Amino acid sequence: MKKFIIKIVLITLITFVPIVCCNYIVDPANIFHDDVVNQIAEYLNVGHIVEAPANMDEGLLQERRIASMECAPETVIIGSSHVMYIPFDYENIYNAGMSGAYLGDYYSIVGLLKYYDKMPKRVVIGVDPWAFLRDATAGRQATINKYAVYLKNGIENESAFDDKHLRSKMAYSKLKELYSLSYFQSAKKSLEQNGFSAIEKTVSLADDAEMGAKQKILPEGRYVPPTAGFHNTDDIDKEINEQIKSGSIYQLGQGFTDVHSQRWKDFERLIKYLLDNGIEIQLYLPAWHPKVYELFATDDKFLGVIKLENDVRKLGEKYNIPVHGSYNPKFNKYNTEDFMDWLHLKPNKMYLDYQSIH
Amino acid sequence: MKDVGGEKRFSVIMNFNSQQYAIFLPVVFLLYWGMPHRFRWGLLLVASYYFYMSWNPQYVVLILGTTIVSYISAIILERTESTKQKRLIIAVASLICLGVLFVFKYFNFVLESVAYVCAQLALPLHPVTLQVLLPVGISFYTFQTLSYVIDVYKGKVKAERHFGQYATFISFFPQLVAGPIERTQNLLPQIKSVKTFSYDEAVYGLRLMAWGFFKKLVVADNAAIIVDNVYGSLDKCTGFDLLLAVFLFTLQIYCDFSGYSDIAIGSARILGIKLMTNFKSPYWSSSLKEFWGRWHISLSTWFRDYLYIPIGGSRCSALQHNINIMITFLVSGLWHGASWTFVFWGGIHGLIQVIENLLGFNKIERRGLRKVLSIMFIFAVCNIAWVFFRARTISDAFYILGNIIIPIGGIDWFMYSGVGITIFDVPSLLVPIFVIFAFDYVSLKQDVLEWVSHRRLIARWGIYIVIIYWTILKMPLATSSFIYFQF
Repeated sequence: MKKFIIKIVLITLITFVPIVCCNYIVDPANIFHDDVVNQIAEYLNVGHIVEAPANMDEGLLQERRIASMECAPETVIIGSSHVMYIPFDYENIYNAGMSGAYLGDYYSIVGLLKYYDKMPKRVVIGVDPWAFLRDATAGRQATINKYAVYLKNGIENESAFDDKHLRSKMAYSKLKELYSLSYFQSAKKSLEQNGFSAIEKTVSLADDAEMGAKQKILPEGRYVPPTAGFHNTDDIDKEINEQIKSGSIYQLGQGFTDVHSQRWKDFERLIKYLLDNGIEIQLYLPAWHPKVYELFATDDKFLGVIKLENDVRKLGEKYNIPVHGSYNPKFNKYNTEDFMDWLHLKPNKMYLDYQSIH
Repeated sequence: MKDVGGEKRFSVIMNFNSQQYAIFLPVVFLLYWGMPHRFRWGLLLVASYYFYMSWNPQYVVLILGTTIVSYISAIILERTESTKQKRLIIAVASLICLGVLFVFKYFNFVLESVAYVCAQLALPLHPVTLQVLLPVGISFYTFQTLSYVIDVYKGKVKAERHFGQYATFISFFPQLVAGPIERTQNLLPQIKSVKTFSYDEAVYGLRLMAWGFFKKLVVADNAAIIVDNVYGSLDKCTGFDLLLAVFLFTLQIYCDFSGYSDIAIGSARILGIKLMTNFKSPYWSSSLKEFWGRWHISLSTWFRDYLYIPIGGSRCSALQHNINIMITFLVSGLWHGASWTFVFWGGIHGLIQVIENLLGFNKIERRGLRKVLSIMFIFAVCNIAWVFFRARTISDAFYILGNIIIPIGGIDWFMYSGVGITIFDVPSLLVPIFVIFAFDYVSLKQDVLEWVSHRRLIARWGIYIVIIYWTILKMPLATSSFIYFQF
């Protein structure tokens, strides 16, 4: 028995020590080298423009930025990359968009704002269909999921907002990534793609907000896409055909026939919570590429997208909330040339949507 | 709005490939070997019920109810002398056990089928269907309890008096949700017997588990990505896509289910319990009869002993023999799922075996090239039959088969890039498939895992590390549940 246990321990060590070392050293999302994220947050908060490192932990950056804000912004934008690139051009706005954000990420951001006492006057939520594929406490940004839990508990029971020790609970979630097999795969991928430069952890400042070789983050939280992010229409068509052919549309996966009732309730509860706290809300429906939208409109497997738009509009009417944009590109007269890739509008075209918001 | 998808009902779902199981099994292992023998069955019972309740706590009532009914029935059966009364008791017990299975698994299917027939006869019927989730493992533990009651009825085994140990036999966690469907004679005495820890047995169990994880995570889960995409959007696929998906599903279901069985048998083995072998290199079979002697052995022998032989088996006229084969395989298909696609799948297997009998195929000695061709033929038959097993409808299955034969479109080498897989990933899938086929081939002659134990330390540990890292690096980030859990 003793021999067996020793061998089990030995094989566990042989398996996990390299994994832990690789995860810590390569650290593709800079979870353990949070000094990098701290530095980015610091630069951004004093007005610098920063070149975004690959695979940065966007949730962690949001936490650092919101925690160190001097005062609450007037408007906060919540949503996915569908809102991250929107070029808002007036002061005192903070774009908290995060790649592929789910409902849980909406909760995390509002939870962060609440926890650090930075609740704005206005919140704009870019509502994506895939947001409803996960529960209100299961955001894509695992690092800040605890703020979603904090907010959800607080909405359900006011006294839960008294929990001011969230940061100390973070240690375990970080520790999990140390031995995470999926993080190990990401580290391996990062090493394959970037070689040993993946290990270097430096922050580069950018001189201006113009598009360049790398993606940039502006002080107001907006991202500027790299020039390589702009694909020609042929490539976009090819990307869409591949998505359609694989039957899996980005995070929507193989289909989206309806919105999960509990998640919709949680979304409505979030809206109600913000309204009850005197915060003005605006909802935004980002346009999809015409070809993708055509699939949504014709394929029964994606009927939920159209239904969701109707439900969002009804919700707007119910609470007297403006709903801007539409998943349907025809709504704002977008055509295929207005998209920089299969998923995103060109930022300057998004401006039209922004105009419609205000 | 409606609830969509099979939501998790409990905070901790205990899949073999979950982190929870990676904690659960070592804890059970340490407690099991650390406590006196007389308490071990109790630990296994508590662990098994905890394991089962992690899927859905409410359904514990069903397994407990089935256990109580079969336990009491067996004791009454043993005490009853009248054959007539015995028959009545076994009929009632079977009716209760199968009734639960029917309500949860087949009720909607039967009603929908009746409604369909009525609609064809211009008699519109709008049946009320039950909105219930299929309790995990219900088909497996129902069959296990049935075999016990039937064995007691036939006098093959004595009725178990110790309810706790009997409940442990029915709910033993490694084989609870997807088998192997154990027989009383094999498992119950092992639960009762005094065991001492065996280093060799435990190491063998771990090796088996590692091999099972390799099959499940490296082959089955990666193949599932392509298979699910193709089967989910048939009209957008080329003939080549369909062919690839058909081939990959044949491997997916084997690696998924045999991988599960290996993990189950391995988990039991480290607790000193030997479960029956469930797979013996089935794709190396040179006849379908041989295939069913190697595929899901615990189920095929169950059907042999409790259906095929009781209805006459082969000791009857040739016509009746073939009818018996067809009945057995049609019922076997229905056991797999409440859908006509499964019945069709069973029907194909039955029909080919009938043809094998009529042609005297099983009496021909196959060697050399003839054997190779037979193996390839049986593999092709399996591929075709699996299409019906996997497709949503029978017409989908025919669409797939029709468009493989008459290919539509060309080969789109990059079709899977939308889900992160390109044609360049195919070699990384083919290599482990080759390894599995080679492993199975060698297994026909010797126990490969036993062979590994006789290698030098460096070679042995080298093999372990390669298998472990291969699995870790190649498993998809989002692994799926085991296919057979739905049955």
